[in-house]
This record gives sequence, structure tokens and C-alpha cells, in this order.
Amino acid sequence: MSDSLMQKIRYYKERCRNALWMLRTGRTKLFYRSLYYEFYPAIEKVRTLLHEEQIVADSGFVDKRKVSRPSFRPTVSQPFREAHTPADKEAVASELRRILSTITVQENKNS
Amino acid sequence: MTKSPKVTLLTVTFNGKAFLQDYFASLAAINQQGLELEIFMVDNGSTDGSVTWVREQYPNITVIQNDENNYARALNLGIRRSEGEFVVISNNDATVHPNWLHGFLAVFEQDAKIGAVQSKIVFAKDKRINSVGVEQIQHHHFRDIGFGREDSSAYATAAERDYVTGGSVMFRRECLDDVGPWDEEFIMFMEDVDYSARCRKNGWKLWYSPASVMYHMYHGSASDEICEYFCTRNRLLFVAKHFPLELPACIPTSHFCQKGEYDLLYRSLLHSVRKLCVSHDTGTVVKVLQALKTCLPGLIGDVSTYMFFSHLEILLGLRKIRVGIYDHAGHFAGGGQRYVAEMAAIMQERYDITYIFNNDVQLSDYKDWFDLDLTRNSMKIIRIPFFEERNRYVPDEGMVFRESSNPFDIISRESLNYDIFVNANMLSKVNPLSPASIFICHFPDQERTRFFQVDKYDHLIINGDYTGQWVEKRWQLKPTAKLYPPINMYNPDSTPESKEKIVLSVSRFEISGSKKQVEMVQAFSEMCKSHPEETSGWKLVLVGGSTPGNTYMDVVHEAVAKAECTIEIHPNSSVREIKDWYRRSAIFWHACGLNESRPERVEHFGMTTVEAMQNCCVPIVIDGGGQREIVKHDDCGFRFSTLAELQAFSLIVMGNAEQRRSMAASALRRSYRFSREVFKEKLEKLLDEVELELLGRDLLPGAPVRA
Repeated sequence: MSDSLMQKIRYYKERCRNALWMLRTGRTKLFYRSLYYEFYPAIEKVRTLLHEEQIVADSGFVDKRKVSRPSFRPTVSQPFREAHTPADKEAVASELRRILSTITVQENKNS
Repeated sequence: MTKSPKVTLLTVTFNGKAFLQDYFASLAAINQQGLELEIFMVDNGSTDGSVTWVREQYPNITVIQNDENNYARALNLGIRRSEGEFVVISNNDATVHPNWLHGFLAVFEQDAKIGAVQSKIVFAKDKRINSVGVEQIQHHHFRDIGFGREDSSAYATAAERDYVTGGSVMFRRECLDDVGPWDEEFIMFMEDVDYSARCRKNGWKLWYSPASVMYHMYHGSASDEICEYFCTRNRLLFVAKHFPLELPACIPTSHFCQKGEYDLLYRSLLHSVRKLCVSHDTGTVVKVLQALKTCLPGLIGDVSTYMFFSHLEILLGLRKIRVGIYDHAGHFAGGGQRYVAEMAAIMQERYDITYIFNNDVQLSDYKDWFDLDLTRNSMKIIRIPFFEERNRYVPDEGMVFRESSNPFDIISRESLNYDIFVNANMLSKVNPLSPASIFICHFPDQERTRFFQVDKYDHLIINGDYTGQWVEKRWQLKPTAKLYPPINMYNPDSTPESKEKIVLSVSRFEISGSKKQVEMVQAFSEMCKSHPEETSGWKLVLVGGSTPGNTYMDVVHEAVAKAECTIEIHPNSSVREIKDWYRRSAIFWHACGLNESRPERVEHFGMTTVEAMQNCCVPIVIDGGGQREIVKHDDCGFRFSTLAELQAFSLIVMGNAEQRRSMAASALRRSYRFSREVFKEKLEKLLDEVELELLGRDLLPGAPVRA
């Protein structure tokens, strides 16, 4: 018998022995908790299978930047060299703040 | 013009050795009568031996080495060094006609305001026209005049052009001096169109000369993909620079937009607006921003539009970077919370940080829990109605499996307020809407389930290789960085001399028994019984957190009562007390994962093992999970698979003081790789990368440059 099978058998043997011991000694709360921890992943799997068609569901917000696979881009990033800006920084900043305050982001609008 | 004008010939190469021999051979054959010639070759970092070959074969050619793979920068380097009255810029995946240079000069003689003259460029293969100038077509797209047509009398007359190509063009020195350096932000492709526009703006005329002929391979050394990327990107840059008010109208006709490459469109637009800001006055900038606000939502959606304008604020240096750290379990102390708090403590030095929680908590609590002062940061409590209705103390994403909308979207919406969003505690259903995002995974407890969003994060950080393997297996995702938890339990008083005959275990008394305290008690008891001499004077100390009413504690107490040896249990000890146990203990046991077949039930990392190693304890730990990465077997400790092995290794260490000492020293050395200093160094490196992606310009790492 393979090691992994032996390990599994040993594992389930111990779980059963522990379960019996808990029931015999009246530790029902501990028994139910152990049961929950033991079967939680399996229950999750069944739930997932039952609702498999729904798994593709996405968030209600769509970020179009995130394409399924990043597009081909041959460059990497490097810090910008400092550049003089003729535009008034404060005026640009205040315009950007104003624009941001007028954008309403709604769920599912773009999906 | 002087009688024997000096002409500089400038060509740029990148791994173009295959073309250079023919090119330079054709240069050797040109008619140089009445000309003084100097030749420069700028190399953009070739690795094919072109530089050595040119230096050997053509010692009269000056080779200049560029520190960046940037064609426009290479031109500037060459022009700066040149002395000619005329400077020719030419591709080298080509050959030239013997009358090539005189063909240019004949046109210059007609008018002193002619700043540049372009050759007739034909395809080497079939002699069809490649370019006899460049023209603008609709929506600020550009094309080579005559491209692909038969050479005919239509191209036999010299004529003025709006734009010239940089493939084969001669500039008058005065024109170059007047217009200034080439714009290096273009890198390659369309840098010539930009330069042409600048020449004309300064009053220089651009001409085409049919008497100067070049035979071109066409993209001999640059792929179509690279060409398309740069042409599309640079068109937006060009329009922002020269026709700013037309930028919004040019977006829908961009190839990025038409092909749905929104990631490239977003980035190129950001850089174009930056270019706009450095090229134009406030009035123009504001007008363009307003027009973009109107047109962008229809093209990229309102989420990306919001993100775009917010991103511009940091790209233009108008505010500090904002970071949002979301921890749904941040209202109680745990290993994961400590990990993130350490991150926040480092990040708060450079960013504005907001902690996002779902339950009541104060940032001052982190001072008590982890001795980390995060109080200068902001915090928000956002309750998730789905879990509030179900009265959950901690949001459990396993409960979301049939809902039609994602309950975590409320957190996604919040993430839009930040430049970097950090999902700190593995909630896989939160969609990040910030320009940069980081997902920290301590272990992928579940398979991909409904509303799975982890693949939308830019960075996926794991705490060790064990987690990394399971992330790949369960989520089919490749982690982007590995950051071991920062552990700082060093104590100068912990020395080999401070050790007593104590075997220590530090683990929570998990209600499920997953930390295996009962098994350790049984193993110790059996060992003492079977080897009374070797274990004489040794005791087992179990330290760890527990909650009131923890039934597993009863089980442990019962096992201890049965044992015929010295075993102490110290639940909920203070940090000071734990430090003292580490100082006194010679051996450290960790058994979480023993006899377990499920990966999530095995210790994912094992911070307490490192803490013990930092205090010169010899670790004897389970051979599984993250422990394999921490403890090098038979070097700084031992790894066991069965309780019999645990006992055997322990007896070896107990019975040999010298080995204990050398293993402890080795364990201490190894523990440095999991220290807070290493964590800080790696995190800062990662943040530099994230910041560079957010704020950086483009740089070609090693892609072929047009030669």
C-alpha cells in the first residue's frame, strides 16, 4: 500500500477514534465542532458544484483596464525625468478635484 | 554652403550586426567628391558583437554607446558629438546609392530655409516605393507617401513635404541647433513626425529629393508588434503635444481602443496628458481635461475614468500616493494582522494610509497588540450588510455562494479612492478598483469560487513557498513576490548558556486540535517512560493562546494528567513571559500538520519556530508546510514525519550538549532571513516597483530598435 494511502487510512482511523471518544465522554459540542471542521470543505465543494453555472459571476464594477490577459507592451517603467510644467499646478489640481467630484460610479453600468 | 561641406553620417543600431556589413560596404562606395565625411554609429546596447565588429572592420567610424535602448536618445547623443554642417540620419538595415549624399545636397542649395531633405526610400526586395515623405491622413494618423507603389515619374521630382521620415534624412546644422534635441519620450517611431512638426513650427522647410536613393529592408530589425505599439502610443503623445484640443477626438480611432487593449490605452493616455501639461498653458490643459471627462466614460467606463483622473493627480505630482489597506479581520490580534501591521508601519513613511475595517477597532489597539504605532494613519469602518444581517463577527466569504450580487462590492467601491489597494487578509471576492493593487495570501483556503477576483490584482504576495505552491495549484495563479513574515523576537539574553532542560511548544490551543498538543504530550510521556536516563530532568512546556470555554483545553489537561513526566501548560501568557520561555528552553517542538492530509491543516509558515530559532532553541518540527522552508534538516534542527521520529531526534539533541549548541547557533544564523529587516528591505523593493508602474515612463529593456 502506498504511503499516502496509509497516511489517509491512519488519518480517518484517528478521526473515528476521536469521534467515538467524544461521544462516549459526552463531549457533544466538541464532536459537532470537529464534524463541522471535517466536512466544511466537502460541503463547500458540493455547494460549488450545485451552483457551478453561477461561478463565472463577476463584481458589479468593471475596470476596463483589466483585460483578461495583459496586452503586449514591450516596455518597462523608469522614473520620469523632471520636466517644467507651464500649466499652473494649483489650477490643474483644482480642475481634477472638480472633475472627480462629478463622476458617479455605478454598479453594473459598464458590464 | 562651403565648397567642401562637412557631412556627419549618423546611424543607430541594436543587435543589427547582420545588416551592418552591407550597409557600411555601400557607404564605402558612395561618391564623396567634394565632401568631408565623419561617421558615427550609436549602439543601444547590442549583445550580438556589432560594436566589436565595427571597431575592428571600420576603425574610422566613431562608436558611441547609449545607456538606454532609446532611438531618440541615441540620435541626441550622436548629434551632440557631430561637427558636420549637415547631419544625415539613416537606417542601417539598408544600402544606399552612390549618389545618396549629393542627392540631398542638391536640394539644400535651392533655399537656405530648407531644414531637412528626405531620400527616396525603396524596398530592397522589389524596388517599390517605401517612402518619399510622410503625410497626415484623417484623425492624425500618418503614412509614408507612395508606400508599396511602383516607382514612377510621379516620384521623380523634388518637392516640399509636411513631414519627413527619419529612415534616410539630411538635416542642416542650423535647423538642428534651432529646433533642439529630439523628444526622447517617443523612444522610437513617430519621433521623426514630431521633429518634422517642430521644424515647420520654427519656419524650416522640409523637402524630398528623388536623387538621393536608399534601398531598405523595412523593419529589418523591429517586429510589427513593437512598431504597432509605438506608433499607436506615440500618435497620442504627438497629438497631445501638437494638437492638444484634438486629443479626445483621436482616442476612439486609436488602435488600442479599437482592439480593446484598454490597459495600453489607459497608460498611453496618462502619459499623453502629462505631455500636454508640460507643453501647454493652463487654459488648454483644463479644456482638454474637461473634454476627456465627457468622452472617456463611454470608451473605458466610469470606473476607469474615475481612476484615470485620480491617477493623473499623482502622476503630475499634485498629491501624495494614497494607500487603502483592507483587513476584514483587523479587529482582533493574529499573525495575519501582525504581518499587515508591520507592512503598514513601513508604508506610512512614504504614503497616506487608510485602514479599512468591517468591525469596531482603534488603530491604537495595534500598539498594545504588536507594539506598532499606526495612529498617524486614517481608518474607516465599512460594514457589509450581508454579514451584518447574519450577525457574523468576521465576514466569511464561504457563505457567499448563491447571491446574485457580490456583497464585497461595497469594499471594491471604496478601493477606488486609493492609488494602491492592499487586500490584507485573503478575501478572494474583493475586486480591486485602484490603479495598483496588492493581494496578500497567507494560504489559499478555498478553491476558486463564485466572485473570485484574485486574478485582478497586480501583485500577489505569498508568505512562503508552501503557500505559493497551493496558490498555483488551487488558483492557477503565479505569485509575484514572496515576503516571509517579519519576525523580531531576538533577545540578547538568549544564549546557549541560558538554556535549561526544557522542550517548548508555542501554539494556539486550537479547538480543532490542529496544533497537536495532545499528540506532543503523548510523545513526550512515552519518551520519558522508554528513556528515563536520557530524559531525566527534562520537561515539556506548552504555551499558547486559548479562548474561554475551549473544550480542547480539557482534552490537553486530561492527557497531561495521564502522563508520568513533567509537563506544564501556560495558556495566554504575556509576551514577556513567552520571551522568557524562549530564553530558557533548549528545544522547540512544532507538530501542526502531523497525520494531516489536507494542506490547509498543515502549518502554512510557522512564525513561532522562527521566534524559537532567534532565541537559540533547537527546532524539531513537522516535515511539512512552511516548516520545510524554515528548518534545514540535520543542520539547524530536525524535521520529523512521525511521533517516533520526533522522539528519536529529541533524544539525539537532549543527549548531546555540543550538538545542541552548534545547532542552536546555526538556527540563529538561519533565522535572520525571516527577520524584520529582511522583510522591510524586500517590501521597500516591491513598493519601488509598484510606484514605478504607477508613475514611471516607458523604457525599452532590450527590444530591437529600428536600425
